[in-house]
Amino acid sequence: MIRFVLLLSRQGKVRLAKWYSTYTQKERAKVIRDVTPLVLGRPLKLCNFLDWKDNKVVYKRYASLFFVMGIDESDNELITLEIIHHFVEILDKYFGNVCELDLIFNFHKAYFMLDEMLIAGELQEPSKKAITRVIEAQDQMVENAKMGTTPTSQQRA
Amino acid sequence: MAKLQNMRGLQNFISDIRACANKEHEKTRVDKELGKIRKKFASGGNISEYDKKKYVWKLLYIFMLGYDVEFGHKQAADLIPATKYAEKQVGYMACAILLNEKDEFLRLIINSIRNDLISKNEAFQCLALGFVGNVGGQEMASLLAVDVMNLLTNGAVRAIVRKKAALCLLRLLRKAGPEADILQADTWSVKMANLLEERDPGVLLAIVTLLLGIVSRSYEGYEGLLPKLVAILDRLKKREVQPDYTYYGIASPWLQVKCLRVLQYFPITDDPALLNILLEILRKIITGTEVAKNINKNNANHAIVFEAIALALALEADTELLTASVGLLGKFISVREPNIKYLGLENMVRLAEVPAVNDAIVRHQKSIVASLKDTDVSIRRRALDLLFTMCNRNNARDIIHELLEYLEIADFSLREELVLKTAVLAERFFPDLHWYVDVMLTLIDRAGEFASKDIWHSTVQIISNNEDLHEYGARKVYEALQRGSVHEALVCTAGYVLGDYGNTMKGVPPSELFALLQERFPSMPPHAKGILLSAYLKLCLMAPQDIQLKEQVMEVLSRYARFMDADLQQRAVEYMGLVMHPDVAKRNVASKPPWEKRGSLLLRRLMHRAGGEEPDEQEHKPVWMQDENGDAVESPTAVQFAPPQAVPTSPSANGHADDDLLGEEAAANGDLPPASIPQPVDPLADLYGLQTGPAPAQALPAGPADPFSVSGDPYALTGGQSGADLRPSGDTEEWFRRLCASSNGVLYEDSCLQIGVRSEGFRGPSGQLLLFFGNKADAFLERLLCVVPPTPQFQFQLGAVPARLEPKKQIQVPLMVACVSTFLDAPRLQISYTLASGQQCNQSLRLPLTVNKFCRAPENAIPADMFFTRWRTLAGPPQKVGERITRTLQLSKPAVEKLILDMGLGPQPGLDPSPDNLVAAATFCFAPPGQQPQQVACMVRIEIERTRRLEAQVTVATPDVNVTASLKNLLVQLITKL
Repeated sequence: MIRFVLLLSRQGKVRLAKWYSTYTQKERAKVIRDVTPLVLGRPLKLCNFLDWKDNKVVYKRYASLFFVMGIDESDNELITLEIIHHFVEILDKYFGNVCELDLIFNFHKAYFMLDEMLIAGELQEPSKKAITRVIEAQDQMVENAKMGTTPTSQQRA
Repeated sequence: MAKLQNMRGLQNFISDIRACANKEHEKTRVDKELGKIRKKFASGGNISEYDKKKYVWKLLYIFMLGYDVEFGHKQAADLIPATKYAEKQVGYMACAILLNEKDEFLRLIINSIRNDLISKNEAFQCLALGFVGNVGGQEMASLLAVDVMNLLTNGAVRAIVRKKAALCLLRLLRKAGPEADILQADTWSVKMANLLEERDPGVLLAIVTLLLGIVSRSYEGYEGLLPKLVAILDRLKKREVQPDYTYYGIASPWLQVKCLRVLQYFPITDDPALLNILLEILRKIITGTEVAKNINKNNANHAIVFEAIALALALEADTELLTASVGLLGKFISVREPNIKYLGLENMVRLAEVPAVNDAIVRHQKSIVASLKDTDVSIRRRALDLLFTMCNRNNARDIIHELLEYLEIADFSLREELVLKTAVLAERFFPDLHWYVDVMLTLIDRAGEFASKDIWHSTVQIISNNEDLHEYGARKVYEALQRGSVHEALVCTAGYVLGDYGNTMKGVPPSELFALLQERFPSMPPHAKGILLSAYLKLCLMAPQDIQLKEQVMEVLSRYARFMDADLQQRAVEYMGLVMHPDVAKRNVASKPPWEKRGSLLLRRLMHRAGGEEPDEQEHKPVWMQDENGDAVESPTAVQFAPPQAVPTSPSANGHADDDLLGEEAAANGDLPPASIPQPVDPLADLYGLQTGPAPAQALPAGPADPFSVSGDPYALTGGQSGADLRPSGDTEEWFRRLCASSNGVLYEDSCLQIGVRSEGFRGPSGQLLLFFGNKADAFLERLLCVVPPTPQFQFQLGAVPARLEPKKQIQVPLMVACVSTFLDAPRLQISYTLASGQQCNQSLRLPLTVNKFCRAPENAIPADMFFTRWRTLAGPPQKVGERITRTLQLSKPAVEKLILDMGLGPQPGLDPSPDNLVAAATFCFAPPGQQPQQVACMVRIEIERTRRLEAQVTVATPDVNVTASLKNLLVQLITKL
């Protein structure tokens, strides 16, 4: 299973962090502290996998962002690498040419999309179309709810 | 980007943070925002829903920056029961990010979650399932599993909910206790069979993933699903899948990988037709996958290939298929693409365990060895693993040769493992013993500090157990020494081998061997010196007619007969006796008896690295833990002398027994005739010989009776004189107190001289004080004298102090200290110096060698019952003593706690029922000469009077009267002045 997902900027800033195994706040900070230099410090053209403690780290760089996943030692590394790519494609489809700034100002959107793609550290939905459909429906529901606020508050008055 | 709702406040805040020039600005901005949010939430219910959402998003952003937002947990949780989707969504999202399964907060929202699960609102159900699937723990597993299972099996529920339910259930299954009634095979095997008929590829993926979770615990009861899984795989391979679910033209690679993985958990099916279909699928995957141009397509394809190879292995497929797999992986290893190379090596390791394809793998040995030199450390590591696994009797020579070559260039992070693995391979596959000795000596030589003890121990073991290796081994180490090898492991090996078998070499006189070893002697650590001393004795006995050698050896021995280290001293003294009485020596000094075979040292070591405990190297249990295993020590004296150590049979085996690979030493028989026992030597007799002139102790004022008052009255000697002020420029007692709880600081200072102290080591029976003497004046300090008067409780060894100290210059003088018994007062340092004017200064200073310096804090918290049993056993004075302190300033608990920590004692929070009190524990250690180190368990309780905080009670309990008194006095003194 995927134990954690991190999005790191080239400067090592965390843009997204999601934990599927139980880590305390301290442990989370330690994982980030340990993994960040390992990943950022690797020269280009090396393989995308790292041994790290009892886990394996699979990462890939897209422009200025590093997408990092920690998986079990026995997990399939290449399919994890493609899950990362799948996620990037979903982000790209939603934002249209996604860049780091999109993810900074709309970090909550990135979390929503991740939640539609992974549950319990496992791939939930392999169809990009299905995911973007769900996210758009969610956006719509939020919009509807916003419209709905006025009548309820009037009723109360 | 119309679909992104604007939340201007949030966007502005993020922009502000991005504009911050440094961390400090960012913190100020964050604090300001947190203050604002806190105020808003505290003000009550007048926050609009929009604002609530906005604030929670801001909190999340702040949290991501690494700040603590604990007060926001409740605000986030409050959004979950909301009736509007927009708020609920934010609530779930925020809680999922902020909390983990252990958080108490989850209890409060579990009901709201359940309401959402059983509501008819699909969107709410999805939110709840996602949350439980990512954060749920054991409690949710027992409370919510039934509802989730219902959602999964209810045909009326839409796909989007059911796939979430399947994965949510997987999480709950992982978290549920073993006895939980969740997914029992008898009812669920049928349900799973139905679920595998699912046609929605998203739901099917989730269900197969769930099944993987189930069978990875136990496949029993689910065997009937095999045909269905094979059918799914078959369909995928025929590309019968909706276009949405192909990935770069491949039918759901995710589902293929999962199916292939699930199948690995089942035993091999006894249905030959089914097995054939499956093997045919695997054959197609392994031999029919072509390399594509697109990297993503390639990755997905290869992900399937690796999984197929693993399944082929699990199914014990025919040699033909496995050989094809080896061929494919071999190709991967030789390509440039790093991911494929890495995975090729990794997967080859599994195949290397199948004997049938071993030869096929050996064909790729060249490219595997070449991978050892890859630029990528991940790949190098895998290559090392593979070489280790594929090594056998036939290729061991080549592989070990390569590993030894590689050792010279390998990076440090790999070295230790590399050395160990090479040694294990050599031990397992050596074609002949001479070769083995060559390999091991080369390894020891090249590995430098990475050669563990076990490695050279094994080498000595093999040499001494095989008579025909004696001469060969001796010659090899001799040659290595001649080549200039200086590493400790090699010198130790040489010490043993040359000492026992040096005389088997024709034409090499023992004196030459002695010279080679003696060259390296000065830089060796004590335990190696011990080995060399034994070797010297044996060399000496080999050539009884060589008078010059005997003189040289005696010179070294006599030097070490006065050495601080008890083991070396004892060896030296005994060996001197033996050299003087060759007839006795002949009877008592023998070479090592052959070793008993006790399993491979190296394999044990390797297992230890893999996580096991290494029984040999476990330290003695600390005194605190000793009564855990039943032999509770009732009487205080017994505690003091625990652990009950057997008196060592060999006097020289104490001390570094651990390093003494040959359990029995030369003179270990213990039945030396009385004549050969050397004259007793007072270890301290000559240490103070460097003080010429009048005995300084007499020249100085006699030590005061009260150990806690300022030393004597030095003012009286200098007070009336004009000229330089040679009185201390500060409070010597204050300096002393500071040093009690610190490892360095000023011990003494006046207008001319400053003495600083740094302590090193300690936390045990011995350590070293570095004394820094600095001349602050513009003139020489003459007749500088520095003496530590001997006391029976300590052993000292003081470095040389020059008689004159140059102006503006600082010198360092080491003072080695060993505590040999319990004591009441800190020992003293007496100094005196004279100025050119004739003015003289004499000082007697207490050294900061207080009881706590020899104390070690327990590593783990002491269990309460253990502590209190001991506390009660020590009924009262003189073992348990209390004293009340009255202060003029208020006493704070954190300050006392810090003091306790600085002193090196171990606070034991939670032991005392009152939070105002402080309890600490420590182990005082001392080492009587020639005996095992001894330990005294110390317990401390400090009660601070609650209302005015001006009074405190210090109670100390230890089984030793001296330790109790000195620790109590010290604490009282330090806390009074805190």
